[in-house]
Amino acid sequence: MTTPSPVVARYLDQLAQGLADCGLPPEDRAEITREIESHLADAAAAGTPLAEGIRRLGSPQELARAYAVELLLRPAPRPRLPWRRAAASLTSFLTSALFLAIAGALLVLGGAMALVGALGIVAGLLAPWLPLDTTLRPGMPQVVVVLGSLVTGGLGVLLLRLVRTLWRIARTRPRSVNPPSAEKQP
Amino acid sequence: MWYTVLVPDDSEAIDDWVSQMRRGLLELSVLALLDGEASYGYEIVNRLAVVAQLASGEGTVYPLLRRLRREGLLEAFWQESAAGPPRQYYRLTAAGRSTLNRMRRQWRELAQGIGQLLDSQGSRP
Repeated sequence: MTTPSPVVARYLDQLAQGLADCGLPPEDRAEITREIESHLADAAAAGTPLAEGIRRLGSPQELARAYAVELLLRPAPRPRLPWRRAAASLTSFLTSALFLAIAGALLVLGGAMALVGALGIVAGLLAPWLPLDTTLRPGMPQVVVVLGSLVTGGLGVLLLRLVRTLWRIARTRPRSVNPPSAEKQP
Repeated sequence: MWYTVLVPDDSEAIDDWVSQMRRGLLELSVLALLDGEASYGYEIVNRLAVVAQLASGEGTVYPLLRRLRREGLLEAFWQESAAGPPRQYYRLTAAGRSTLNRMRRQWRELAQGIGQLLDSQGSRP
């Protein structure tokens, strides 16, 4: 590594001064000037004349102002207070739990109804050939048993579909309540 | 057309509008460029320069890199270079990747919607 030429050194000095004038902290200034120095070395290595490389960066004052606009006018996102974050995740957890509880209840109910419906249909259709007279109410027409079972089974299937929708809502909800945000600080 | 005669030249307003539009897209472009591979300032500036419409230069890219890093979307590390002083490399963080994915989706939907709107208006007699 070579020491920067006097022209580069002067540019970097003025840049550091400009950044200081704009109110950027020393650690920012040191790293920024180091990066710009590295940039000029890369440009020179690629065959760009030094004057051209410096012209493209703009004057040190302009560049310092551009940094200030990005870094000071748009302050880093404020980290959310711990209790607020906890409240947000508790809310999303409770919401999910509620959805899952409802979905679970409907799953059991819907499953049972679908099963009873299916059994009813089979029993109704096969009744004349099976010794099921004791389980089916005596005298009830076969058609009523089959139709009733169809309705029960259909409702059961509908409930199961509802469970699927609820499950999907419960899974996506925490993401929309608490979106991943850039909270990590460098 | 008739309105170019009646309305005074407002290229300044257009320039302002274009630069506002570019600002957000430059952010998306930088994140997209760093998706999957780390890179350093000089290379990033040159790869962005290929998209002339972005009109990005050293003076906008370096400050932006620093802000994206402070917002936790990028992380930086220094690495020795054979050519000269060490380079500062940037790569996406997990938060940066998630932001990039959301921005990409938003941009595609927006571009598609506006494209359809402009096409339907343009095809009117």
